[in-house]
Amino acid sequence: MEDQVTAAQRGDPLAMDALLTELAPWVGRLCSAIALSRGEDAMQETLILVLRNLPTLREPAALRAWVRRIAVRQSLRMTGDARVVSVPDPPEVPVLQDLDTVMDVRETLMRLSPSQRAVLVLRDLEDLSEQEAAEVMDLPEGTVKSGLHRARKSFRQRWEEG
Amino acid sequence: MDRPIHVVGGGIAGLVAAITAAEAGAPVVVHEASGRAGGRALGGTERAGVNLGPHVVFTDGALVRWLRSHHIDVGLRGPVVRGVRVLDDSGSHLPLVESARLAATLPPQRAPVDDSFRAWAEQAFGPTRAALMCRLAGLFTFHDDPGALSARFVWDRFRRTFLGADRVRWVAGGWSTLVDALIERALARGARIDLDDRLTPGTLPEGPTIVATKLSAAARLLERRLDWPGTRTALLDVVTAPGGNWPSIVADVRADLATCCMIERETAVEPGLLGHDRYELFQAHLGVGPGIAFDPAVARIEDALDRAVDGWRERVVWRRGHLLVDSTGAVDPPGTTWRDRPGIDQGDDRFVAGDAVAAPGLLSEVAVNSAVRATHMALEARRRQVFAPGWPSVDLSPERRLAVLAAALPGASLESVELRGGSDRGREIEPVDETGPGYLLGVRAGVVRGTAVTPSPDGSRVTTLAWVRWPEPVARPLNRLYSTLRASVFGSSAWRYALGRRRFR
Repeated sequence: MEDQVTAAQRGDPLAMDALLTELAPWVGRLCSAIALSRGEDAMQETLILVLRNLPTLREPAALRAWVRRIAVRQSLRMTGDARVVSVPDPPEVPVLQDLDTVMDVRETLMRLSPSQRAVLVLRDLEDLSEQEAAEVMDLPEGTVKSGLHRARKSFRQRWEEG
Repeated sequence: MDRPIHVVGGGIAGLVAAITAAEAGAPVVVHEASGRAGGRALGGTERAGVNLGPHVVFTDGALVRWLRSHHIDVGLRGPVVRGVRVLDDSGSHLPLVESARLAATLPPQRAPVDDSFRAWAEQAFGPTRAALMCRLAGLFTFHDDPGALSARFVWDRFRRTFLGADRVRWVAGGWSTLVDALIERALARGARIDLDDRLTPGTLPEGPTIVATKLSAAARLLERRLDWPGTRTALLDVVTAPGGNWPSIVADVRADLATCCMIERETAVEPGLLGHDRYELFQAHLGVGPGIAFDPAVARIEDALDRAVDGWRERVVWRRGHLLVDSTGAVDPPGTTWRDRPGIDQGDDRFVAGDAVAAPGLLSEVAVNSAVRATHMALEARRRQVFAPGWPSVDLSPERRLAVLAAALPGASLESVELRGGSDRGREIEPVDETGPGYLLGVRAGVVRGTAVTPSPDGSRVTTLAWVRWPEPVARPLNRLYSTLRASVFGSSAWRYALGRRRFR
């Protein structure tokens, strides 16, 4: 993986293509959970930025964290919510185990604001700590914390109502 | 092992799947029911180097391309064209030459899916030539009545076999050397191969599993109906002491059969195959109908040998015969194409691969194509396991992949984007190994053209996606990339996605 990154940094098209294969499913998930219907566009923009700016990445091992940051920001930009503002009455993340909940997750995500979705994704899909999530989104930790709390509460409510 | 990908069956498809998955970094376990991996490619253990019937590869086909792209070195030998003997009713070999010549003068052309090859060829070439061509198609279909199969199916293969004959190769040392090379690579990449490990529906592992067995075995294992027409083929292998000036290939196209009886003298291609320089190996095959027993089929093969190979009987030192059922890959009846065969994705993270499933190509190429495709699906399923279920996701469509590469590769600039629809009668899109609907990237003189091909009632619908001019140093690796892309997207639903129009700037 790291050899691949190094080769891609040198501009080797095959390595860049392999990197796309490696990153695309994961980036696709991040982007579509945050940007929803604009997920594909967000993914495309993310991957273009990643490949273009790859030479600036000093530590190949830090690739994922770097890509995650770009993906979250591009997804937010795509939804017109580039600046993260805490929004009244947001959602929340239940622990979902079975596939019957697929529709519920989608439905609920749609009712959240993009930044709330981003917080949810980072905490519950990516398993980041609140501090890490705050870092990715350039927010104070407290804002993420309260945002997450509201997000979860609202998500659970909607889910249980549903 | 941490969430391994399981591969059931250690034949060509299973080994290709194991290598592909292991090279992608996944742990792999191959479950092989017998005591030795290799499946039908092994050809039996009685005599090393003797394949199970005639086996060739095509240098433009998926197997050779895959081997080359993985730097797996297997010796290939070109055909010996001298000494081809045609047995026909008039005793002349002219019709063969003539029909090949005739076919060569035709423009690239596809035959209809819905007609039988016989009906279509009679219209296109006249009844006499059509009858001969139907019989000749026995060479690569292994079927007892190739004329009754779909015209598209037979004609695509006819063109590759007879018009691309310069691309035919024999695997030096027999296919067991190919198997050995694949096993070595799989083990070197960390795959585990469990021998004598016969799975049942009860012992089928959890997690992404690629079932790379014969279709009938896959059906039993997955407890569902999976079938597709195949063939019954009689094989006769004969080793003789050195003889006279024997032909290298005998094509018996006499009109008492609806197919042909093909006999190859393998030692003409590879004289040292048997270790004894001067011993000769003949391998014959004949497609037989459902009502025909093995003995009359062998008698018919022997009759052809009698007529074309003087004195073979007195010199026999070893022989064996087989009746193979559904072992030469799928055949497509009129009205069907490879897309109608049992699908690779069987749901619940089970995938099937092999030479009788929904993948393009000729014979073993189907196994390779389906194995690579199934592995990509299994890898994706494995990745999915780490994500919570229920979350939405999107895939990177080939169009968008092209857009990303075009935007990111140094020095590349996208000149224009053109979206076109409607039937494009003026242009014939050459389906590269039946890629069909999907995505073609053409690299010519530093220009990349992306094209989506969609089936439509009146032919293929072609959508040109993008033109990119590449700087010279980038063009060469792109050619390799181009084959990778082409191979990885066949059968995808990529064409359904509109191109990210705004994305091209």
